[in-house]
Amino acid sequence: MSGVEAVSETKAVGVLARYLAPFVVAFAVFVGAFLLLDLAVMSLQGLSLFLSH
Amino acid sequence: MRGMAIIRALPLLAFVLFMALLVLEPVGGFAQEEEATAIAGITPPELTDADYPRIPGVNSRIVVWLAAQLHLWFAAFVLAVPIFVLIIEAVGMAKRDKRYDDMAYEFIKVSITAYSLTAILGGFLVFSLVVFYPGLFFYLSGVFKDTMFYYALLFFAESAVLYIYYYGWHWLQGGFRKWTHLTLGLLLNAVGTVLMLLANAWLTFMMSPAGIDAGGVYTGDVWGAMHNHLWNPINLHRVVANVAFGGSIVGAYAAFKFLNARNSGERAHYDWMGYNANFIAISALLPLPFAGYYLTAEIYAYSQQMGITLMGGVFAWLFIIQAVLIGSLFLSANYYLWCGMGRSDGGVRYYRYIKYIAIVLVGAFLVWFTPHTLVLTNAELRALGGPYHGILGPLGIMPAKNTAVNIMIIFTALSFQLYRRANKVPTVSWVAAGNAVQVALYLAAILNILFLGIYHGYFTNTVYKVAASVPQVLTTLIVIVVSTSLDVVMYRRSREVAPLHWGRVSERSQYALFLLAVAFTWLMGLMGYIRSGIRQHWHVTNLVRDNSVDAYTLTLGAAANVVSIGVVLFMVMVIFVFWLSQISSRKTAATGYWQEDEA
Repeated sequence: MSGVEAVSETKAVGVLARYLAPFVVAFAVFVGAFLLLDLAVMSLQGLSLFLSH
Repeated sequence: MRGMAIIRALPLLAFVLFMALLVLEPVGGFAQEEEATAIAGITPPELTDADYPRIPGVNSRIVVWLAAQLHLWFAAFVLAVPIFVLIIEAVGMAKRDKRYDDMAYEFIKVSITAYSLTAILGGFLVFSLVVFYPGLFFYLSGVFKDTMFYYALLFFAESAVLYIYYYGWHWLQGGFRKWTHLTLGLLLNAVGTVLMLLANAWLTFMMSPAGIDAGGVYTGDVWGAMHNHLWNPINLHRVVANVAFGGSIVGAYAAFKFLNARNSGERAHYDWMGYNANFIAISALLPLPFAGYYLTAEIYAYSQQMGITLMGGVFAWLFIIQAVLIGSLFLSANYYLWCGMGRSDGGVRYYRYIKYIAIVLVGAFLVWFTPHTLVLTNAELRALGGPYHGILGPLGIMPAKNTAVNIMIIFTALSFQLYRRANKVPTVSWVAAGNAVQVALYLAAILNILFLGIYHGYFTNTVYKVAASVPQVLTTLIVIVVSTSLDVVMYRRSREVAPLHWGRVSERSQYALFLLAVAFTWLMGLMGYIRSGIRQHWHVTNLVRDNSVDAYTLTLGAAANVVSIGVVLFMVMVIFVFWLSQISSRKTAATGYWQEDEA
């Protein structure tokens, strides 16, 4: 492996560690949280509708 | 000085007349009717054409409409300004930064002349109602006699506190005195809010009457009549809208002063003032659509017929105009922020993102004002194959609009975020991870809003379609709260790129502030007409029928023309207020005019 290749590989790993990994983790957490929010809010509204009739 | 004293006395004078009017014994039939109803409850009057006095050459409906609308615009302004003046004053106290105190003083100074105009227009409205709609007015003043009386009394308190707050500004400075002044500001807001709540009770009673028995007879339950179905939704909507509107008007004032500035110091001051005014207006604009949805949902809950008249009937097309206006508000507010990045030497780092935000905003704007049904000729209908366009038709219904407005709000919040970052360099070690989390938050939220809008909006039944708008709103609010909180932590120990160059902003940006004020004013006028117009041929829904010759719904063009005339009148008055503020700070040296002292 040449020096240039080694540097670019290190850079790629750096980018992965600094940006991609936190992005993937955060994205998964937020998507999950938003879906739970949708489920909870829609269910509560359904329950409220059910109880009011 | 005498002129100023007269101006100061006008609100009191107008309201003394107002109170005198209330305590006057009604004449003729009304007196007898009131005596009878005092015992048996107040029955809704059955009005005839004779109950609507007319003055030749005067359209009573238009006069009352314009008087009420102009009064409301000024009232909204003078109620909103003390809210953010109090906050700015408190910020100035906390930071010990006199610039905030000076700015708060200048804001309240503008509202003082507007306050006189509010009272004059309120008096004009009352006289117009008494002259042109005496039957309705005396019915309403019978139901709300207590609240109207206390309203008039409260106006004395409002005037007194406002004048002490304004004229005592420089007297009540430092330590305990400053706290006293701030408390006066709080008291001013409390009285102003109560005044607004009382007036809101009267108009919402006309839309959704309460405190009456099955026969429509008022039972004497004052609180029941006040606390009618639409009272709180209107209260919430008006407080938020007033702040947004008030912010936009003082923004226009700052722009007016900026464009007239004679030196760089003045440009810097009014640029800063305009930025803060815009911040206030947009901070209130962001939650405003949600307050509007709440109000609309409650209108539907009160009367489906009223709701359908509002959004599915003759008034629906006015909502397309509303969408264009709100879209222009968002575009001008964002444009102002983008121009404002030029104040910072670090703003250039974010310029490349602006075009993408602009594309999204324009796209969402186009979706928002796409109509569901089109006004078409027969030939056009045949060419289209029906009233709905095959591709654009689905964009005409509410799920598409909800999705579009939530995305517009999120991207406006993003513009704000970039603006706040423009002059800062974060110093924490986890900047990259923090930015990645921010991107993930925005992306996940947008996907969720699209999922809720598309899946529940088009592939489930109506119950889910309506229900999905709530998590959409919550998603947007979560983005604003979480991204702002994260940025606060990330930029806690940030360093500045360079000192901000206040005043280094294009003149075009100031016209964006004017556009914001005009669009807000037009919007309030239009939506006010719609809210009032959905009562159609009723003065008080299902209780007091409008039997005047004007008991019909105007064509859209005619209604829009009246609103436009109102906006022009309001703007002329506002420019007059700005001009008064301008001349009050100017002095002319009259050398040789006055007799010199011979000492």
